[in-house]
Amino acid sequence: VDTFIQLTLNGLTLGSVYALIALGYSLVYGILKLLNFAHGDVFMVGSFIGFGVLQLLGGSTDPVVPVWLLLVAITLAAMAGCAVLGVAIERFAYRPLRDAPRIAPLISALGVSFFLAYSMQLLFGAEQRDYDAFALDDGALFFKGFDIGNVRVPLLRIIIIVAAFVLMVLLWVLATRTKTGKAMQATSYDREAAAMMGIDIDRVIVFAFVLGSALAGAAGVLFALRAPTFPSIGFLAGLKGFTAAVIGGIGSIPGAMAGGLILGFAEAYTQGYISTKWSDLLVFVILILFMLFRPQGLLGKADIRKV
Amino acid sequence: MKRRGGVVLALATIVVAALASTAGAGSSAVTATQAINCKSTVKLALITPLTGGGGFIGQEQLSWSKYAVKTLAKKYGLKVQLLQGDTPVEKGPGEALVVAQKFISDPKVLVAIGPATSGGVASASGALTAAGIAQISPSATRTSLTKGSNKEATNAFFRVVPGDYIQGPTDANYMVDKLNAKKVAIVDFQEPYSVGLADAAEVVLKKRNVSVTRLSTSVNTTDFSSLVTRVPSDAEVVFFPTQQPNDAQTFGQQLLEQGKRAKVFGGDGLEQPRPVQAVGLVRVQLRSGHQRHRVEQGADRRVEEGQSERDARLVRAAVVPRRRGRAERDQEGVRRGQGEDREPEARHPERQEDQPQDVDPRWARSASRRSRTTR
Repeated sequence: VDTFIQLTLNGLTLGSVYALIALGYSLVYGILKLLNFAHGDVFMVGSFIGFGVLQLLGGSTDPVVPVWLLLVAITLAAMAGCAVLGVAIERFAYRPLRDAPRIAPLISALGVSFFLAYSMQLLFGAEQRDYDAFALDDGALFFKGFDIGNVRVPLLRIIIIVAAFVLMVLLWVLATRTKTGKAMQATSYDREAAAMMGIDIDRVIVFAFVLGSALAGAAGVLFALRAPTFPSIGFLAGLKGFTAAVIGGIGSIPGAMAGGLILGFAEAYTQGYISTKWSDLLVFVILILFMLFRPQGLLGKADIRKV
Repeated sequence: MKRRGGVVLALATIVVAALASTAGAGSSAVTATQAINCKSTVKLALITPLTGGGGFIGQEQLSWSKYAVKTLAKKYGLKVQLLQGDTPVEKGPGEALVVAQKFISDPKVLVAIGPATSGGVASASGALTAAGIAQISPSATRTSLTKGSNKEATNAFFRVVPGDYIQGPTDANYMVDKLNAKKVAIVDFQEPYSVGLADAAEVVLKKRNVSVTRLSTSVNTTDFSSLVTRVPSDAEVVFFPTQQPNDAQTFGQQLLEQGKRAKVFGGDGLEQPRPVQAVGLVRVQLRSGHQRHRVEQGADRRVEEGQSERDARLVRAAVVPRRRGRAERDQEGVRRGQGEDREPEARHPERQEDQPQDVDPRWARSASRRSRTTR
């Protein structure tokens, strides 16, 4: 039972980060029908921004501000930085190609992905960067917390999971209860009709990129609090986020959350119960099964316009 | 893998010197194809992954190679030019051969530093040797390159890192003899370096009646928590032959997080000039296979935790890897008394080579702090 609780906890931590990444994919896909393959690299840039701000504030060993403020500051900085980056990517890499065949922006997205990964490597080197959250408060984030059975739920995991869910709920509210959110939905149903109804399509698209990239930035920081980051991490993170988005139903916001969690649990349980070796294999087998039997994903709706 | 470009280059330079002295006559290891005039510029070719997922290894080898050229070339009165050949691991081992062809066409290239990966050596060694270019790898550890009936490398291949056949047994014996391990978890990362080393160590451990749990994860994994969950709670040691010191640190922290007390033990890939903040009851033992009696100890520092029994002790130690290995010692005769090669160490003033085992906790803390600021 302890093992199960521990694995569930592991999966929940991983899954909530995957879900945050998946949301960015889904948002952009929902509106532009574009697979933003640069999204994983926005995640990577976010983790680097967080690292930079962390160093500015004195690093983990000697932070000049209280720990909670430090965590909030690096997360917000990464979100803001990534939002700007997302807007720039949209403006320069996707907008000129908006009316081009769909393959063109896809290739452009791959280009942006490589551009980001390799320019980060050029600027900051290829080595791993470690937030060293362990040093904060002498390891309190790892040791304090509450117990379920014999399993300690450390503070850091609580922070990551809670932060991720708060952000997801915020996004959900934003997308369903506000005017801008409704404009986004309208645009995703039918871009031209929405434009005719007086919705500023450019603004809506930029807004989607801002939201998606900010979430990726937050995910980057939350992930890097537990594990080192490096310039080529974006590819795999993006792949996992994309898989989560597809499993959940790409374009669907609750779908992306569900997909992220499923992926996290699948990884944790495979590693814990079956084999540490085959966890990635299983993840992508799940993806293929979904593609075969439920291509619209768990909570997505079948795209009948194509028929 | 060892990142010891400086040493490599020292060796390379020696080979150059050897070639110069026997120019035209041919040396024992390398068939010199033409006379080399050391008055003109000689070229050394670095063949290593400078970009891509393995870029961190290549960049480090590049920095040390540059450093060695800068400091050693003048000393030996040579004009040395360092050429760079990038072999991203994503392009597979064959890329080393592609890069090698480029250097083969340049008659001034005397020695290749690399290829960095064992696969690269296997693919490019033949062509390089045929062109009279010796290879000195700082990081290729595969046993079959130089041992067995089917050697994958030619006679002009040298390495300044102990092969898996040395490292594996040494590491395994160390775990049994010095760390008193009865139960060991071994992690590999599904790439040639760690699998080779893990296999070599596993054989010896089993022979010595140690119970072994073999775990395996993708080299891209950075969150090890589910792997940690599978480490038996009574395992004394986790053999973790990563090439990424930060991964070992993360793994150690995640072990502690789940209340496991095994020590994390690495191979030569954990050797780096920068101190690692070791944590936990886990003492990250930074040492390579051949550096038998040189385990650095961190200082323990208790963290008040109180309640439960599995509360961990925290070590915030400045665990300091040593850089001087056998290959370096072997050259002692050539380099004795020459201070230049020590210079990189001066850049890390926090390094305490002979840190006593029982260190005042406050000292350990301040040492670790200093190391942060110098990063």
